[in-house]
Amino acid sequence: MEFPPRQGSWKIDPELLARVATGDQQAFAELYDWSSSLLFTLALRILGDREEAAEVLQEVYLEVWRKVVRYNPARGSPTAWLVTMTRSRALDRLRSRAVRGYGMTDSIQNRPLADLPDGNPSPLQASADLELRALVEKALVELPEAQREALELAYYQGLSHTEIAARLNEPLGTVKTRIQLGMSKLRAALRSCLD
Amino acid sequence: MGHEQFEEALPLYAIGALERAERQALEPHLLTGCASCHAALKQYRAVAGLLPYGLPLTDAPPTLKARVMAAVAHGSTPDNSQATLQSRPGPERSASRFFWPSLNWAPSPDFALLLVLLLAGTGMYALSVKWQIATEMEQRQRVETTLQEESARLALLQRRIAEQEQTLAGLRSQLDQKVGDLNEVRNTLTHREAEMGQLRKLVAQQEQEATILRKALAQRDEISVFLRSPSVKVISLAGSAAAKSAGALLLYDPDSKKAFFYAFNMPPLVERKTYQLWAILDKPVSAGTFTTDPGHKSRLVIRNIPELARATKFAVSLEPEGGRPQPTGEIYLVGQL
Repeated sequence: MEFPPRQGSWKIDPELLARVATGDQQAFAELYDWSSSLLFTLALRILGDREEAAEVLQEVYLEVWRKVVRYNPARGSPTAWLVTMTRSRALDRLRSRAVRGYGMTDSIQNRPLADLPDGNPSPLQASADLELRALVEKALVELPEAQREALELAYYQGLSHTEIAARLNEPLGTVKTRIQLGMSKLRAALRSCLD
Repeated sequence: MGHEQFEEALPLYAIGALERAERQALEPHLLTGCASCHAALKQYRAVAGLLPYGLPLTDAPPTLKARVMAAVAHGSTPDNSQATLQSRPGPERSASRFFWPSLNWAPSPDFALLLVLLLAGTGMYALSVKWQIATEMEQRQRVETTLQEESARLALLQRRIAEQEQTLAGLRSQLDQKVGDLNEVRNTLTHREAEMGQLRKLVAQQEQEATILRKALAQRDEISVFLRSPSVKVISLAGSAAAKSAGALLLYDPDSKKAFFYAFNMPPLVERKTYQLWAILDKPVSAGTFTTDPGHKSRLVIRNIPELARATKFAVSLEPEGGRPQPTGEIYLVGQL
């Protein structure tokens, strides 16, 4: 599976970030267009609340604007960097919310109706990442339910393996193995788009 | 933790599921520049980065882009100071680990000093770790070489021991054979000695017999010479009432003054008794004592008794052992010239 440079959010050209680093607002707007749907989807999945997700996204993009020089291409793709940053900020907010006494959101099904998607995604991002989405969805569907669940608890709720084991009332070793197996299977299934 | 455990921790690390202590154990290993771990981690991180693509896509609120772009426009150029991030409250997990210091970033002098010190420290730590690893590898190689040499030496020694054990076994079997041979020889020798003892006994017996025969032969020779002499006188003695069937002959040679006395059918002697021959002139003179053979034959050789030449009467009496100067017992034989 081939993704030409600058086509789809997954293959954002690092050169675009270099332009952003010079203060190029046009480049920054382009970066936003390529990545905002993906990042918003992620923040929404973690927080289950559109408003909070939007707030997180605004924080993230401002941080990107300010800290873009700290991006190191050797460590991963621009998208991976943005995804990591968004997940981290969203999880921070989720934890501070838990401290404030709000209930944790377990799954996307718990979202209030008002927070459900309010329209079709932008044709630009949807079409560009179509093949990649299909590939990831297939890889996830093919995972055993228990492995997918462990991965989602770690990734979308920021739980450590100890916390997951406690949550699921499963032995620690079992949870660790599920995560290792799940990641290993995904790595094999998605090998074509990892490099 | 061994390398295998580090490798196993990588997928959990990439998805943010490690405990703090586990992260703190893994990160120094990643700092050593382990190539295989870095390669695997990069892929696992990319996998984690792909997970949101599995979600149903939701566009951000249309107003958000305007808000972001307005904030960017007011904040002018990208910020090169660390202030915002430094003052940011709340926990920071994997996000900050994704950043690396960049060369085109211009830090404040104080921070630069700190950073330089930090980098120098990290560099020295990495160097010392690298050096330590190199030293340990070298030591390990040395130990492995020594081990190989010692193993070879051990094998050689074991082979030699095996050879010597074989030789020893051979010698032992030879020794066993020799001991067997020796025992056989000893048995044979014992047999031979027994045979020889018997033979020696036989020889002794035969020598004894030969001596007896030689003596008898000598006596016969003496008698035959004696009987051929013309001057020999023969006196016959008859048994008395005490021994009616007994009798005796006395052969006397006056020239050689030698006499032979033969008695037969003499009653067997009782213990401590002997027969005594008397030559009688005016009074009896002892001519010697004799005993009886199992066949009741008796023989007496008489030498150097001058009275014999003049005696005309002879008698034999039973006397106590050793004889008496004069006859004291019963007369058994009597004869006259």
